Amino acid sequence: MLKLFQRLSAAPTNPKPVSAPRRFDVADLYRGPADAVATPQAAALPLDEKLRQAYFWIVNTAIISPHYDIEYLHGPPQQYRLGDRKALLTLPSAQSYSSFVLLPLLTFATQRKCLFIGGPGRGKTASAVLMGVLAGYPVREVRRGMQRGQPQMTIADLLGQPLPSDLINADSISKVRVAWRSWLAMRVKIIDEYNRIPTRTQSALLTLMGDNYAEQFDQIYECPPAAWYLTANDDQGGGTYQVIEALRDRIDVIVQALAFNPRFLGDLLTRIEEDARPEEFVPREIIFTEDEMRRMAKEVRAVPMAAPVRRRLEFFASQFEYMDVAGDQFEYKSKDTARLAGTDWGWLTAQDDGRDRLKDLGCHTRNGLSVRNLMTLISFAKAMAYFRGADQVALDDLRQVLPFVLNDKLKPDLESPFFQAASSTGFRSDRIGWLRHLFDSSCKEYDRLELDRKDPVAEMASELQGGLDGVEDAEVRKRLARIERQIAEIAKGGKIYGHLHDDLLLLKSLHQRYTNYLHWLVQG
Amino acid sequence: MSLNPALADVLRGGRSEFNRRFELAQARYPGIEPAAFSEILSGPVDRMIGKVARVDAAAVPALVDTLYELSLMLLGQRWIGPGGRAPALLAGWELLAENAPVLLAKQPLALATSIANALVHWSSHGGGDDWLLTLSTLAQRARSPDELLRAGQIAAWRHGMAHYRESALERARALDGELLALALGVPVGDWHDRMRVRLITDRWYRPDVPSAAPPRVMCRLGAFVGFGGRFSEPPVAGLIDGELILDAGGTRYTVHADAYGANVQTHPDGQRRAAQALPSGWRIEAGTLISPTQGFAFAEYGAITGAAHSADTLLLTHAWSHSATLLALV
Repeated sequence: MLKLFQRLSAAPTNPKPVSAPRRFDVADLYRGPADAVATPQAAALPLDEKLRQAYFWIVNTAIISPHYDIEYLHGPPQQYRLGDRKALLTLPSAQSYSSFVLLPLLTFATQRKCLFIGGPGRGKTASAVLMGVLAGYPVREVRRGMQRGQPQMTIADLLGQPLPSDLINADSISKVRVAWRSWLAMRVKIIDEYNRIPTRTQSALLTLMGDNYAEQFDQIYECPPAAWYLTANDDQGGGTYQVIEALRDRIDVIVQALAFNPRFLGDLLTRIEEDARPEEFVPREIIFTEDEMRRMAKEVRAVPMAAPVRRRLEFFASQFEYMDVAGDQFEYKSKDTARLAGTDWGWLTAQDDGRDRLKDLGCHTRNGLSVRNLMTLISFAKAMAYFRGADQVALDDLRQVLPFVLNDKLKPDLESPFFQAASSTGFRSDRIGWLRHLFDSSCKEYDRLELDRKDPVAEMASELQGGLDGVEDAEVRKRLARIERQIAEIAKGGKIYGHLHDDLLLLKSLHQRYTNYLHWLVQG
Repeated sequence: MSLNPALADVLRGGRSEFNRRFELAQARYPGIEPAAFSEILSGPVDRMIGKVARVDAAAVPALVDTLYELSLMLLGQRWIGPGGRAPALLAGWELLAENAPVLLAKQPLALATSIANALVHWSSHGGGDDWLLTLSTLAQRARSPDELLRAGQIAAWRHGMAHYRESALERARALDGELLALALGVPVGDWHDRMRVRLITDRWYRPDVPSAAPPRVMCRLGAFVGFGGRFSEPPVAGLIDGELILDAGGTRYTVHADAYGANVQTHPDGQRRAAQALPSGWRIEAGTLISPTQGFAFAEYGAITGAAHSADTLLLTHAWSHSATLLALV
């Protein structure tokens, strides 16, 4: 049984063509597999390879029925249209992954926060426990450190108790020492059924998750960086308590535990007969030390995102915030303005005419993206590229993580014409599919506008980024005129969409910078 | 199992640690069979320990430690043991213990690791027996492990690893003349430093063989994959940035050749660029290559499909053959 659970995939788990060295060195004669004994550090796997091995161990050994819903393609895949609704089944032509395993692992690599959702008994808690074991904690310690949400949970239950002797003897509140709960020091933190925690305790949890410290009786406990795993049977308000919005917003990714495929019942049977739990047999080779976790998070952050990929993300993010009827001043024409004012959404959308509400992606949502959402998205796209062993973030990496990061962040407007269309019925409940569709549509529009080839606004921004040192007033006037011409050009098009609104605001800011500089030049 | 007392003592003394290492290796390499490992310990390792113990008993514990760990790992990775991919590896170790027990006692880890890695290389390159023979001669003369390893590198080039030519020649500069002569198969008394210089300047020169007048056919290079070669179809000659290239089935290979042998190594750029370039005054007529001084008939290999040359080498490919032909021009 030990052997069954301890088998690891052979490295490299994601082999890539390796360029042959152009200069052969006879020193290579004495380099090879035996080096692992001479210099053990040479044999240590790179952390991305270790992460992949952890992934494949979980998929092949711990999770019984994996779903390969993160599809990568290398060349055209085999596809089938099935059923009355002609559902598309794709057989991916490149290494593809199971979101239920991969996203928690990326959370582990980036030390962020992941929410598992899904019906009871689908392996949400078990997966979270596995992540704790990967961080080097014994199973028993992970289970003891797991916080179980329940309606009577107090802040003291969550964070720790004041010492009774101090409560009696202390002459000021700051002298009351607190016996902090040991789980606060763990590098993997698990909150089971977080939507059963009372609202007041949720606020304490918010401080902990948001600012990484706990506070009791004027005492502060600084927590180490950690990966967080929360579980909920239902994330749409079906728990005992409504989860406060700010707490929901602190969650970086949401993954759904998909249904068990009874075709794998045989594996389940073996597990019952052997009375074996995979978390008790995690191979030592895939357990990460504290230093490795820190190093991995740093390596992930160092993965570059090239300008063409970043530009597509900018374009996508620009689609959603703009709302023409929400404000009078140009800067305030946003959905957030309407939300803050409490304006009736139905009334507002009824006023919004003149645009193709089916095609305009901005009309599919009730909100835009926050800075936190974008930062999370970039972090996970980097983690995805890192996990795949790529040297930079590819558009596909961004496309694959986007739905899991923006799930529950970008709120669909289910009354919009898009969701009313018969072809979009599935998107009303399949948020992952809808978000992927949104991103794909945005990329298509980006391609249609040929923004990779001609993006005058980006050129003007980059011109300013080059600095103003030594730029003469004649040149500044020329640049100002060019900005004004560009704005006039956009105005000629008539309709304003989200990305144009953002372009116009950028042009305005460039204009302002040049105006100030010109003023300084002339006065000086 | 009757073991040499020196080996038995060390194993007994560190029994729990050695058992722990075996269990760890089994968890990492589930294919490790205790019987196969036991055979290695009681066979080659035991004999080696016996030979080293005779010259330096104090070195035995470190040598046992090294060989135990290396054997476990190489067995786990299926380089040695039943069906091992580098069966000569254990013989190489034994040869080292036989011919250089003092050096092995001095630096067991460096020597055993380097020789193991070299034999892993030879197992994929093909050959290695001649290199081991030369190494045994060198082992008797080398004064330090480093000197032995350096001379072994020159010998590897001499025995067919032509792709190491430049770096081997660089190392030859710092090597003792006697060891260099032995590495190159030249009787020590015949060695002269002029030979070292000519080796660098003349690719087709061998100090142990009288030179013939150029141009001359030096060797046939490459073979069909079914016969252990690398080409799935007859290759086509080409030249890129001064490098001779063979292109077969969409994969490109760099040709490495000199008087000691020839081989091909994968070229990183996969684009096919065939050539039909001959030195000035040369021509091809119906399967025959004609130089200003003589003709070379290749009709049995079919039409000449490609020709490329550098200053000292002409590479030809043929329609009916999976081997290319190399001619020395100087």
